[in-house]
Amino acid sequence: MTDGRDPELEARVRALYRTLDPGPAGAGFEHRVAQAVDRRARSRERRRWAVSSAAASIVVALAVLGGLRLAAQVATPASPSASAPAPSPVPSAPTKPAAIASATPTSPAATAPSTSPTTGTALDRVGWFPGGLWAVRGPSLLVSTDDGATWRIGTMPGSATSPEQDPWLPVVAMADASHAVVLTAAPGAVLTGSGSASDVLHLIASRSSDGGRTWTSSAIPGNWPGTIVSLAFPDAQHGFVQVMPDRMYAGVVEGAVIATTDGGRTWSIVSRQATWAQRPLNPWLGSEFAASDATTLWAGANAEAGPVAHPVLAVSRDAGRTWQGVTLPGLAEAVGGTVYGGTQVWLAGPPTFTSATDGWLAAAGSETKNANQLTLVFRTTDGGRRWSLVSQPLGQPSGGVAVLDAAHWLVPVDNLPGSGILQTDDGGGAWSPLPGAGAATTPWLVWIHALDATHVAAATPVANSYPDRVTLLLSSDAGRSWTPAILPSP
Amino acid sequence: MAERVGVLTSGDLGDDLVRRTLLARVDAARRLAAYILRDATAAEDAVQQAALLAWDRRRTLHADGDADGWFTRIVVNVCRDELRRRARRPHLVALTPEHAVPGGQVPGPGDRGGDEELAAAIARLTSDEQTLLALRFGRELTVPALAAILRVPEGTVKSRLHSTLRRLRAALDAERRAREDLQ
Repeated sequence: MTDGRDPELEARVRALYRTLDPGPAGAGFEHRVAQAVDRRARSRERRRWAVSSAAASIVVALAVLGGLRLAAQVATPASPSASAPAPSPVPSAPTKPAAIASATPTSPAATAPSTSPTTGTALDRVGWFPGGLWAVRGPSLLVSTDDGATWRIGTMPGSATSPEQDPWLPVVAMADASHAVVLTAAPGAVLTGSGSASDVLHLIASRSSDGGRTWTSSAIPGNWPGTIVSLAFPDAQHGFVQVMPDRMYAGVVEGAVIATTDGGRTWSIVSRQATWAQRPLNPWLGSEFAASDATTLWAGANAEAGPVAHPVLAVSRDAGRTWQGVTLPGLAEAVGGTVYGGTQVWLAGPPTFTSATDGWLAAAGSETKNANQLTLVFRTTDGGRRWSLVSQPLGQPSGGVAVLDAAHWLVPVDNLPGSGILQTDDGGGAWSPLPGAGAATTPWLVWIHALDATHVAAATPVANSYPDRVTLLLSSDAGRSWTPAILPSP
Repeated sequence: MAERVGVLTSGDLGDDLVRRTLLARVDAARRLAAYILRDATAAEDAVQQAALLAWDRRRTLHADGDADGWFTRIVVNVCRDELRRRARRPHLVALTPEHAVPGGQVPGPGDRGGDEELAAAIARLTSDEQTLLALRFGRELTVPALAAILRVPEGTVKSRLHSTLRRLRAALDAERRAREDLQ
C-alpha cells in the first residue's frame, strides 16, 4: 500500500459483496412491482378526481351558505396560539433544558403530518428551554416563547461552521430565552476519520446572553477528535460538555466531561472517560446526555451499533466528577443478565424531569422469548435515585417521553402498525395509538417535547438531507394533530 | 447501457413508457439494493418503494434523460435512508447472552456465509460510506460512473473512496477489539 490504496482490503470487500448477490429474482418480483405501480397510478387518478369534487362541493356550499366568514372558519386550521394553554396539573412542564442533534432521516414516505400535509422549514437543529423552543437554520438562531407561534431571529456565532467530517457540530443549548451556548470546531481541525492520534478537534464555546444578537467565545480545553460532543445547560451559569468516544474509536481516543460555572466564560475538565486500557476502572458513558440541575448529570446509551461497555444509564451527582450506573428494574431480566448498552437496550432520549423529583425515561428493548420490540417506560419520584418500570407497551420508541401532565404521556414509536404515537392518560396503565396517527401518514418523530398540557413540539427528519436536518412540528391539541412550524425568513 | 427515453410529460403513451422503463430495471436495482442493504428481503422492499417514488417523480425524467442514472439515484437514496434508519435503531435481537451479536447488527443472509467481521465493520460506517462501497465494490461501478450517479466530480469520488477505505480499516480494528472484549 503505497498510494493510499489497499488492494488486500479492496479484494476482501469485493469478495464479501459477491456473497451478497441475491441471484435471479423470483418470478413474482417484477409482477409485484408492476402491480404496485399500477395501483399507485390508479390511486393518483382517483385522488385528482376527489380533489376536484371536494372543491366543487365547497363552492356549492359557500354559494348556499353565502358567507366567506364561514368559509374561513372551515378552511383555516386553528393556530397553535389561538387558545390559551391549559394549566398543567404537574408542577410545570419539563423544566430542564435539553437539545437534540439533528436527526436521522426517514423514508420519503414519512415526511408529512397526518392532518397538515404541507412542507415545513428544514432546520439544522431544534431544542427547548424552560418556556420555549429554539431552532437553528443556517446562520440564524430562532427563539420562540409562545409555543412556536412567533419566532425571534438571532444569529449563530460567526464561527458556527464545522468540518464536513464531523456531523455532530455545531452543538447548541439554551438555558433560557436569552442564554445560549454554541460549540463549534476551532480553525485547523484535522479529521482524517481514521482515529489517528494526529487528528485535531479543538472546540470553541460561543455564548450569548441576548438570544443570539451578540456572541463571545472561549476555548474548551483538550483535543477531542473521534468523539460525540454533547452539551447541557441546566441554568445560565452551569454548563457541561460531554465528549464521548465515537464507537468507531472507542478505546483509542479519550472522552471527558468539561464544566463551566460562570456561564461559559471558563471551562475545566472535571472527569475523563476511559481509553480501552482504562475501561474496567472508568467505563464509558452514553451520549444521551442531560443535566437535571447544576450537579446532577445523566448519560444514557443511544442507538449505537455496539457492543459498548457503558451502562444503559449512568448518573453523576457531583457535577460530572464521578459516575455510577443506574439500576433500571426489569432491564437485567429482560436482557438475560447481560446489559450491553446501546446494542440491545438503548434510550430513546435522556431522562425527562418535570421537577426536582419527577422524572420519566423511555428505553427500547425486546421480549426475551419472541423478540417483540418494546418501549420500556420508567418513572422516578425521588430525583432518579430509584426508577420503576411503569409499563412496556409494544413498539420501538423513536423519541423520549413527552409529559403533558402527571397522567398523560406521549411516546413516539417507529414500527407499530397503525400508530405513530402512543399515549396514556392513566399514568402508564394503558397505552393506545393516538387517533388519527396512523403509520401511513404520521411522520417518523425522532424527538418530542411537551410545552404544557396541550402544546407539544416534535421533530421529524427531512428525507435525503445531508447533513441531516429536521422539520419542527407543533401540536396544540395534545398531539392529536400536527402542523409544521412556520419560521420567519432570515 | 443507458436508454434514452422519449418525452414523458403526460398522457397514456408517456406513462406507459415510464412504466416499462422502470420494470426493465427493477432486477438490476434489486441487486444493487442487496449490495447496499446486505439483506435480500429489504432490497426488494426498497426497490418497490423506489419504483413508486420514481413513478411519482416521472416528470423529472426528461426527454434526453439517462433512465438508468435517474432510477439508480432514486434506489440509492431509498437505500441510504434505510441505512440511516438502521443506524438510528439497530436491529434488536433476542435478549439472551448467547444471541449477542458483535456490532449489534443481525447479520444479513450474505453476512452469515461470508466475512462476518468485515460485514460488521461496514455496518459501523455511515450510510453514505456503506453506499459508496456497495456501488464501487458490489456493483463494480467505475469512478466516472460513480461521479455521474452521485453527481459529484470524479476527484471527489476518489477522495471519498480513499477516506471510506481508511474509515473501514479503523472500523475493522474497532470490530476486532469489540470481539476480543466479548470473549
